[in-house]
Amino acid sequence: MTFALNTDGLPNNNNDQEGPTGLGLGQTRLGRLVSASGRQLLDKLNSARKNFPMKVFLLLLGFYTANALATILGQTGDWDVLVAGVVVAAIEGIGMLMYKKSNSKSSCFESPLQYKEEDKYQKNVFQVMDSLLSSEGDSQRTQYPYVTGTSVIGIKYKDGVLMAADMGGSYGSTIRYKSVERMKQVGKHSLLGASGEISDFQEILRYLDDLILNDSMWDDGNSHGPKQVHNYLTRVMYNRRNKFDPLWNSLIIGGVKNGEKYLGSVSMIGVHFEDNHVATGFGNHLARPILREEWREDLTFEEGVKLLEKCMRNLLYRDRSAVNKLQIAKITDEGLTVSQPYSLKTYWNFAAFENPTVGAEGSW
Amino acid sequence: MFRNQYDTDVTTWSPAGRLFQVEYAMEAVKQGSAAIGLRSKTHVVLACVNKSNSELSSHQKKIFKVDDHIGVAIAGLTADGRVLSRYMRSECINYGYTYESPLPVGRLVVQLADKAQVCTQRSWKRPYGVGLLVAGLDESGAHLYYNCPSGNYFEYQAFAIGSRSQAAKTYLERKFEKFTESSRDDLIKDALFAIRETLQGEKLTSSVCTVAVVGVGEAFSILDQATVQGLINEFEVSGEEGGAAAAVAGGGGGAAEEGGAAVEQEAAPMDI
Repeated sequence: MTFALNTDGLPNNNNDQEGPTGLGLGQTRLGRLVSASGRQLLDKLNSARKNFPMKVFLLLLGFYTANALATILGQTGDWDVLVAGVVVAAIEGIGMLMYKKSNSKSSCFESPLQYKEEDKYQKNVFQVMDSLLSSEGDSQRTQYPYVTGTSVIGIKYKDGVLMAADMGGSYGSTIRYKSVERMKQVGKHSLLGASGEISDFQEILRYLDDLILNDSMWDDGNSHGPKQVHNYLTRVMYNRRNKFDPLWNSLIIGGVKNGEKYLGSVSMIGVHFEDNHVATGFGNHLARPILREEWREDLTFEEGVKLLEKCMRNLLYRDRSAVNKLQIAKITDEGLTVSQPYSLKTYWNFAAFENPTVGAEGSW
Repeated sequence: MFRNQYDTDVTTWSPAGRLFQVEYAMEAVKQGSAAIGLRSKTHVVLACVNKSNSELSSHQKKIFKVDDHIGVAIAGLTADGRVLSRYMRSECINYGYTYESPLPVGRLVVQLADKAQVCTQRSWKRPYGVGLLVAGLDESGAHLYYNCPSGNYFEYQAFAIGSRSQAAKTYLERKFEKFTESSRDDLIKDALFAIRETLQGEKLTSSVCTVAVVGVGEAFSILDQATVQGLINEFEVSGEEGGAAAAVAGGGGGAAEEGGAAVEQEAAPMDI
């Protein structure tokens, strides 16, 4: 590598540089190159005139020595290849020494060196791009979820917002963990529920801790409410998906600030909306229809819990990732309470459960 | 010839503990034409005097809308004022992008003050030569702040900056206790009266002043000239009817101004 670099310091390598020069670096640079190499040539000629007889003598001596070496060693036919190798190596070695010297002498003439640096840089860029683009590169990103939680459901009710989530953590399709808390408080007024990658959820909670800490450090009576947190999370999720490094979650943000109820949702690619009732994952298919039928603006706390339990029971029956251990969280102007984990009563002796393949010909 | 040894560099202290360059910057605020601000519980009004440099030119804009809930009035170097209001606009819009809600006024003012402070502590910079009256509305109500080139900031019920502002300050000091409960229109009226004090007998017309309002249910807006003229006529503050009152107030204000200047000679006027 160094060898190649050093020999490139010579003016006759200027031909190589015509590519970049032609690419729009301008006539002036080319002109400078030409005049500089002219000047160098003149220098060379001048220095060549010095010690001229000595140089002629050395040239002849070199010619003689090379001939003699080749003839003597080459007399043994078997050695031909070996001798050729040695001679080539010697010539290259001398060349390297010579050119190294001349390079340092012409260091004031620096544009070829500059180009070489750029080349090196570009080579690095290409290497990086290669590793980014190759599918087998060692990616440092969460490309697939590992431990995941299933649906979360949130509803507004008379005094605030209620949210329900079970406590299962699935490793692929294995329900690996049974006590994962998937609803957390954010600041004074907000509640965050998450389904999807549990570790990404934990990272989001770290972001939010920073956010709330910085906000409260102002100590000026202003604080982020659920709307601000929701919008912030939307920006975070969309930003990460733009980096092709999404946080693999569907989030639900609920809260009350100054008597104003708020409930919204964000997906892993930044899709966001507000509604009176929201759900993630399977909940969208199994719980939302029930909520559309039965949700009212003036639900009491008891009615709200009952409605959530109905939805959770449905999910428990029909979502294979759901577990029968859930929490319900309530957030009002007074603050947040998350229930102790508890189970729902289930009844598995429905005819359809006992013989599920009846009427579903061909399934198992 | 007298030459101050300690004023060639922003970061050099005088043995008396003063930073002359910073004080000169605050002096620049006093050279600019007057700007005043006052607030009630729900509204803030900004007003300023328009002075043109020559008979042939128009005057410079001295009140800027930063966002729907914030606006500023400036006195001093208008160019610096524009740079700072552009900074404030971008801070507001970035906050709005991230949180979909208005930036609290107090926070913007702190960021602005920090920006001004950096210029008093770097040898290769100069302090901003502009004072800003920042009017805004947020969760915690209506606010009026004054930002100084020294990096200091203060919250006020009512304040005036710029040339001959002492007269307006005197007027405001006499009246400020009732501002809290004032209606929007009463605030504007007091703003016009205060502005007239700074004119020293010159006739107040809509062409020599600009008025802007922000308040609950009302985005920051600069009142157009016809509206202002209408209000001047309605309140009869043009200065001719109340000529005697103006002369009295003007005289008092002048005395107070001299007194203030005398006081400022001794102590470092950092608290302005």
